[in-house]
Amino acid sequence: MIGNDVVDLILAQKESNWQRKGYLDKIFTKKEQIIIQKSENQEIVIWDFWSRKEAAYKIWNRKTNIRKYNPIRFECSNLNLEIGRVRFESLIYYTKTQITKDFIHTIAVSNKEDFSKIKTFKNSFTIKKLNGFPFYSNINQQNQYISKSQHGRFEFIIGL
Amino acid sequence: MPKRNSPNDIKEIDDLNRLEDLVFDKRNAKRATEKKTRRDRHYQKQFIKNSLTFITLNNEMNTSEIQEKLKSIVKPYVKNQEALNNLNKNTDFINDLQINSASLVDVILDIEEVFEISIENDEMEKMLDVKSTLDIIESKLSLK
Repeated sequence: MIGNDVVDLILAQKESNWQRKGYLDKIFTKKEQIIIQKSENQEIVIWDFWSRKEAAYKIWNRKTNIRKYNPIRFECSNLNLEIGRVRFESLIYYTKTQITKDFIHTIAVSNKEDFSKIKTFKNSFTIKKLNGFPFYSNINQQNQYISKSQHGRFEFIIGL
Repeated sequence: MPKRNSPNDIKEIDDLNRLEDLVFDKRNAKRATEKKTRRDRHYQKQFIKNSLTFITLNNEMNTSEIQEKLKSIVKPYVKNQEALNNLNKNTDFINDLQINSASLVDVILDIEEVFEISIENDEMEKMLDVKSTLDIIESKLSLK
């Protein structure tokens, strides 16, 4: 399974006031908040964490078909390694995050091996929705999972 | 001077616990005590019935008041204004109103401030649509 999330840094700066009292407590675990406090560019670390959590949530949501607003329960670690980890209860998701000056994009997978199989799509083909989740038909007319993320100026569509 | 209190003297459900204080014949020595007691008992039942209707009506009004307040709270974060105009119990914050998931935190913090309640993480998890959010706000308000 695969999930991805993008944060448009300019839009995030405009729309979200993470300095607001109580904001970080609602989303980030104590451990994560310590990392945020210690970092030089807190804003980047916040959206970095956020995109990891969202990308992992998308896999969990798809697998369980449960919708919840529970970012605090997805805890990020290995922030500085090439492959990060997001833990939800006993489940571990693996993440790869790209940080530019304009956006932060995270791809999460449930199996590390899947990183090598990831395909990126342009929005030129038709996305079908089955039970609310996006799919596309491959050459053999099989339905393939895809994960779409969009924020502000950026959009990513990826699949396995 | 009215002979008895009015059912409107009941303002909240707990007032029913002091029904005996609220319902009594204010006239003295006009009737034999036994008759008076019987009339009072009858009157108490009427009182409970009427006040329950009154309280239910009152609560319904509160629900729509809460919904109106909620509507004004979410407004600045909504991307789909048409869905906001048609806001109802089934409206989904993310799918219908297209509120960004990072902005949902702001909605929850605003709710805490406006209603002066504190929302726990296991409650926040459910707050993806109007209905479950109203349920949580109402149950928090009732505990105040």
